[in-house]
Amino acid sequence: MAYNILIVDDSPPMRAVIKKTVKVSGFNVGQVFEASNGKEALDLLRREWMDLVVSDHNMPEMNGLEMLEEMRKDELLRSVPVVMVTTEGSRERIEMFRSMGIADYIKKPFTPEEIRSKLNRIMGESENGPGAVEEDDEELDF
Amino acid sequence: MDRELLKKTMRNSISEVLEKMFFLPLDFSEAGTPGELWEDPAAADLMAVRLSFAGPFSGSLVFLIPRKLGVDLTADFMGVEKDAVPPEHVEQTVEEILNMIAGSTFSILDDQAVYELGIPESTSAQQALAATSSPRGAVFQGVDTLDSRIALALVGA
Repeated sequence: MAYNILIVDDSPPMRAVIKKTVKVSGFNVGQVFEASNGKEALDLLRREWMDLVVSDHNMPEMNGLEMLEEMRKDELLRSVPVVMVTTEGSRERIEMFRSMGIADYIKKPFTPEEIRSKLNRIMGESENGPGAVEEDDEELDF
Repeated sequence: MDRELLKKTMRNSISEVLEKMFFLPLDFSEAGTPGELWEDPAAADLMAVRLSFAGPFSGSLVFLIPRKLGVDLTADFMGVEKDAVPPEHVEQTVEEILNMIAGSTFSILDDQAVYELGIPESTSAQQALAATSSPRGAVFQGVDTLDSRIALALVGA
């Protein structure tokens, strides 16, 4: 099975780097879509089937959290796994992401290996249904 | 806010971003102003980005980098030849560098506090250099790379 992935970030170079990392991550990537903010991402999500969303938080027009809120209200989108890749490091903000049911959280700056290992775990789990955040995820311990 | 603590935090964040994600070896400079870091800041062909923040204390971060180094970092980051890097990608990469430095700075400083970060915006080097000489006092950190110099300044609101 090939997975469709949506990368949401207002920085085109960052989208390009994440896209390249995803493509060499080892799992079967179908189409990779890109959006530069949450609003564009929602438009795409309502038109195309996505298996995973990899999203930044701090974006103009609609940030990652607002996008997550909209996705959770939508019956068709609420089960799509979302990985937040963001500079946000406050515990409160991370807890907020977690309470919105993100599949995982990756803090920028990241290494390609970090992205690969998280995506492999999530996509492995998604074979049996979308994964939830591990409560004791060491990346969340600051 | 303790200026020395801020400087130490800024140094940690610069290292985390530029060494981890851009593989850029660096040393920290003792220069306290742009004039001490660059012989002639106006001739250094600097790119400048500014990002505002609000939280337990508010202000903005200003990042200054010579255009040539910006092109080199962008080419390495994106895995393309230097000649093939569009100028807007250089600008966007430098903006993203400051975005990451800002996020890292505030999470190292206090991970219990929430700081609202603005969107990083490219600005003129002249304006940025003026901001680092703010009468309210900027915390200035110069950085030496192998063949270039960059700077980060935190300007209080």
